[in-house]
Amino acid sequence: MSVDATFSLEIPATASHVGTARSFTSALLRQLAAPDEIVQDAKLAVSEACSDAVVALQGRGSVRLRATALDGRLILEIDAPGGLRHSGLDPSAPGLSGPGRLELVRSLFADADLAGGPGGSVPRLRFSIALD
Amino acid sequence: MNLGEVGFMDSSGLGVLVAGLKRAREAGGEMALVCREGPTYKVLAITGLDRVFPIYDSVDDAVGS
Repeated sequence: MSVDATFSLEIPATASHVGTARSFTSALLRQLAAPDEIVQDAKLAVSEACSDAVVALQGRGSVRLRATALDGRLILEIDAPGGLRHSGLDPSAPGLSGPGRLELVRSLFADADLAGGPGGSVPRLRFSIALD
Repeated sequence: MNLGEVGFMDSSGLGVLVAGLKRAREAGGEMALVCREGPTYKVLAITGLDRVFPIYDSVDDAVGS
């Protein structure tokens, strides 16, 4: 497998910057000629993931979005590089914000899942989009 | 509530709508949404809230219901 390109964005963990992550996602997918419906779905998924990370981080640190174009797919990963040990995306977390958001993302992108981050301590949401 | 000009909404927005619906019903009222097919309607549909809110195609339809 060859990596075609990697794009990344790191935003302060505040609600007011989640829109920046959406704009980044939208601009990137439009550049890659993705259909509008896919762009809208990806914006929603990124918004859910970033919003949940913001809640979990309680306004401290940052949220990172990384997009890797690989073999006709765009892999999107959202995590908190500052060492977050508990994420609102934890499926065992009670309430709407944790599992509700993850299930919403999964309804849009079936392969959406949580994976261990670097060092195994940072939950990371990952999903992929077919580009062709 | 007319969502016709809403370009984007995630579950944070849904939470606001649900809170509004709860308050309206506690006060003996009802809250309906005006929303056509599109990204906003899709969020309502995939979360099942299209079965919770009365949803209409136009304000006139909502008022006349």
